[in-house]
Amino acid sequence: MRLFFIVLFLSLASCKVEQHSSSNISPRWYAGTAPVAINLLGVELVDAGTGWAVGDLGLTNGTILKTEDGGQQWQPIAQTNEILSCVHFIDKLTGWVAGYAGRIQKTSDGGRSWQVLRGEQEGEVLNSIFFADQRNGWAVGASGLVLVTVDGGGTWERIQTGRVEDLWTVRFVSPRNGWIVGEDGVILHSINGGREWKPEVQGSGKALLGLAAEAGAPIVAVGESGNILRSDDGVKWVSVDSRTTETLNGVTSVDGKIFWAVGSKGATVGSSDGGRSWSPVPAVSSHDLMAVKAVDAAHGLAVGRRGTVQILTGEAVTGK
Amino acid sequence: MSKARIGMLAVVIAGFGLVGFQSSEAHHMVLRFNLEEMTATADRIFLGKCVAVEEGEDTIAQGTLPVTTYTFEVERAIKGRVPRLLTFQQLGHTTKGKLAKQGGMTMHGRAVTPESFHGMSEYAVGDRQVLFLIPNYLGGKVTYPVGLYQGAFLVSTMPSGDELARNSINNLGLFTAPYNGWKLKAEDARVVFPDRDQPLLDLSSGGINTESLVRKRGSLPLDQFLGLVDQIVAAHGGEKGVVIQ
Repeated sequence: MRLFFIVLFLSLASCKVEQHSSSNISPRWYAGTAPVAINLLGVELVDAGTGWAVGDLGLTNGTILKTEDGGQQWQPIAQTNEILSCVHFIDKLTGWVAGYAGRIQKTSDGGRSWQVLRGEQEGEVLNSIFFADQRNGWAVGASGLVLVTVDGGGTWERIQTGRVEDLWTVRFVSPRNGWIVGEDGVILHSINGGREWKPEVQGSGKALLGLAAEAGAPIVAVGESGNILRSDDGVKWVSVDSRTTETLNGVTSVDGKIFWAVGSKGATVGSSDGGRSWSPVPAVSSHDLMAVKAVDAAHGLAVGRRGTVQILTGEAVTGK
Repeated sequence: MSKARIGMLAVVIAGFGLVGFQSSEAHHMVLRFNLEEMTATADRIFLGKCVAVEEGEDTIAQGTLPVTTYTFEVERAIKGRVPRLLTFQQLGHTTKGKLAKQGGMTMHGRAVTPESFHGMSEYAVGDRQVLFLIPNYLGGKVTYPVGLYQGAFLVSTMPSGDELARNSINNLGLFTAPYNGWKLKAEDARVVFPDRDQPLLDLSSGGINTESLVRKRGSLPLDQFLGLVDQIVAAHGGEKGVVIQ
């Protein structure tokens, strides 16, 4: 299997990975040390070293975790009294977390301090938050919940979509153009910054849980029973063989060419051809993985149940 | 109501052992229940529709306390003998949609008002819920769902017609929360084994797709969920629930 990926990534001659542009990379996932015993639900990584993770509450409180060495070591940087399901940073300083009871918080100092942006809303569950820039952001959640901000999160407008399904992930490739995936195979597309959403037909009723989208690149949605959908234009979706039947909870992309998806029982599948073909790698952990983020061919993080941390590394392949 | 009365409410429930209170700035922490311990702790589990909500006061623990009386039309009983039209009381009034102020006491977004009870589940007329109610206490006058908000599952219907059930923490920990010792210990487990990577006993012979339930995020299919609770009740020697006329 490792040889398979070596061959795959040797083909990425044009891969725009600055720190590794002079060599080909053989990626490998390995188990990191679990920093907490609670379930981790969201992860972010903005460069080879800097990342954050959020999740469930422990016996007394919850914790926002930060790493500065690519996931080897984690430090609790803030306490939280609400379950946090997702974290998104647009640079090393500016980021948002969201979670249950509609909680949304922002940091402008890399996570040392957090400002509550949105008063809590009973019964709301936020599953995903994403910002295209400092001002334009979106959050989605249970029972068709869609929120939009145009002022960095200071105010949020609830968008009536008419949907009742749980919405799991939102991604935008520009301040106007974005997608949401959710329960029952829902895919929603907006071309006006999230003001209006149009359902897209993809034929499967299986839940879609994760979404990866970059400007000018294929869009990939993953979900229940190893379901993977791929779209070149964001309108027409094609099912591709994931080579796993495990539920895939999250997906990440690098330059629209490399994709990693993670899920139940540590399932990890990768693609190096823009999501056209996928191959599983041996599971590093038997615990469910809930979220994944990679920043280049050699640096990524996945997190999951019982504080599981899985780290992507790359080894230069020489002699070719 | 005075702060002393609010404190009294807190003590009333904390004394029952399901809640531990921290400072007023923090949320109070509620013991997390997995589904098996939740099922074992409840004496009535049912699916029903809320048809009436009435707020009032009652003499409880040698004082007059605010209570809310709920009436449910019971569709199906999973545990216990449950009247077709079930009426029960919970401590505190409803929050009437009041939102929490920043820095104020909250429980999953619900504001703490003088008359409400911190973290208590609320139901609106028309809601379909699966409720796991603890035995009546304080002279048999009041009850509440196991783990306050954890044992109340709102049922929603998808466009496909599928019915799903979810509590206010998105069903997190139903199969993975450790036994908290309130009713069961780990060695008492029959169906839910939180330490295992497959935390549910294989119940495929009973028509339960346990693998699907365990891997499902968020809301759960209602029929599979109720079937699983049925199996847990049976695994602990309980009798199947009965709706009495």
